Amino acid sequence: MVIVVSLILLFFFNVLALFISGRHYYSPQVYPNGHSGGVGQYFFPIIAPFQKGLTKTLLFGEELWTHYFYLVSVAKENEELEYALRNAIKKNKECLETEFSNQRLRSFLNFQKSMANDTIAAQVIGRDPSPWFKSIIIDKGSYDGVRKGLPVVIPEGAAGQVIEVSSRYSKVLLLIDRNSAVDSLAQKTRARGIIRGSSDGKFLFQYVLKKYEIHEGDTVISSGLDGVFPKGLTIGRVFSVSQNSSGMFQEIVAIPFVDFEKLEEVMIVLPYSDQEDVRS
Amino acid sequence: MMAYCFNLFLIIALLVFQTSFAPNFKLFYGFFNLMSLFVLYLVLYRPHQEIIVFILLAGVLMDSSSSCPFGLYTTIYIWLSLGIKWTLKYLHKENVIIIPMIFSGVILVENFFIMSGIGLIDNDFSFHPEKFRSLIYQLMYGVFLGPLIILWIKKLHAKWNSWSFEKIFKHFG
Repeated sequence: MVIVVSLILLFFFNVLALFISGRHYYSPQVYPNGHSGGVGQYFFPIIAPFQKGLTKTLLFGEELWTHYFYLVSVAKENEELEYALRNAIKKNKECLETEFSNQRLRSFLNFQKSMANDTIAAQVIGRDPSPWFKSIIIDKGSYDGVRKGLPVVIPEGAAGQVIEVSSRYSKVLLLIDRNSAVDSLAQKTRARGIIRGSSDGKFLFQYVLKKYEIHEGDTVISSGLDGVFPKGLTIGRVFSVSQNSSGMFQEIVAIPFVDFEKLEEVMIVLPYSDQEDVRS
Repeated sequence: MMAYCFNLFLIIALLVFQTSFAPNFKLFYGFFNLMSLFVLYLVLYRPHQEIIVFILLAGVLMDSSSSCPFGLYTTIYIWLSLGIKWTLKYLHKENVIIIPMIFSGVILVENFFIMSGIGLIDNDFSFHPEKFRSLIYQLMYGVFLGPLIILWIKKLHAKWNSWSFEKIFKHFG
């Protein structure tokens, strides 16, 4: 009887502790040294050096394979490349012409050149061990200027947000994780909503009012209003739109531009206030 | 001491394999959580004090490597170990069919705990077919490969135990 009561008490205490831990984990609080304050920051750096070692070894193996073991087909490939190079030179000339006309048009329209934020490049050294959660470990930490809450991007668009920082490594919550949320806009109609991750690797574009006409294929970009992601980063393309009879909002599913399965290198975007510190 | 070193080495190797090696290969899509297999191995074949220490370590390292609420995996492993211990009172663990059966149960209970954990903090949570497919893959891999990996770990551990620090020092002069 005592064991049963103890187990029940332990279970309730356990659920309560998990609930508190779950609420605290995603809170945006940042400590002065740039660390995230959670217990996790002391433990994942134990595994990270091994993950980094294995990733480097795999990359080395891949390079070895590409450079030495494929030499047999290099001669044939060389001929093809020469042909491709001739085509590329021709296209390059066309591109130069397009670039010149582009510059002329830009100056004509008096576009103001916008100053881009500084970024820190980082390599992905580990992925989330659980299929239920979507995060990555990168090889840059507070020593490199990374802080909790900074946005992570790749050329295709927004990728995630830093959620935990140690001195040399950081954990990034990917946008496809269910706990992720980005204030976004439909590029064409400027309809505002929230992009959230879902279980199937797609995005849910939530809280978009029914008065806006959203079509399949429309691009969704970051609005910049959440204070995390800079405005105008591409996020996804609208996959399906449905308007239920009840409720104020549409149900929109979007497909990410970023291939989260193939992330290898990412860039952490620094806020303007940090850029002078990193430069110095 | 040698057993503790072995378990530590094994935990790190399994976690690094799962987070840095397996995601690069499609073959491992839907592969089961190797750490829960390690928990099963501990409960089946290791003494109590080792089980407690390494279940906590495995849980904390999993919690730190994942974006789950901190403590979720530690909780899962503690309750799983208690559940397996209780189940083994009524089952004979040397029977060939028992380990695949228990490991299937471990995979199901682990996923159930994670869903409950997510449901605790996310009101919009729903079970997506993609996750169902992943669960089926985990069970299939688990039933066929789980017992083989456990046997392999057991043999590796026996080999490790046959060494001693004196032998190692002697070997390296």
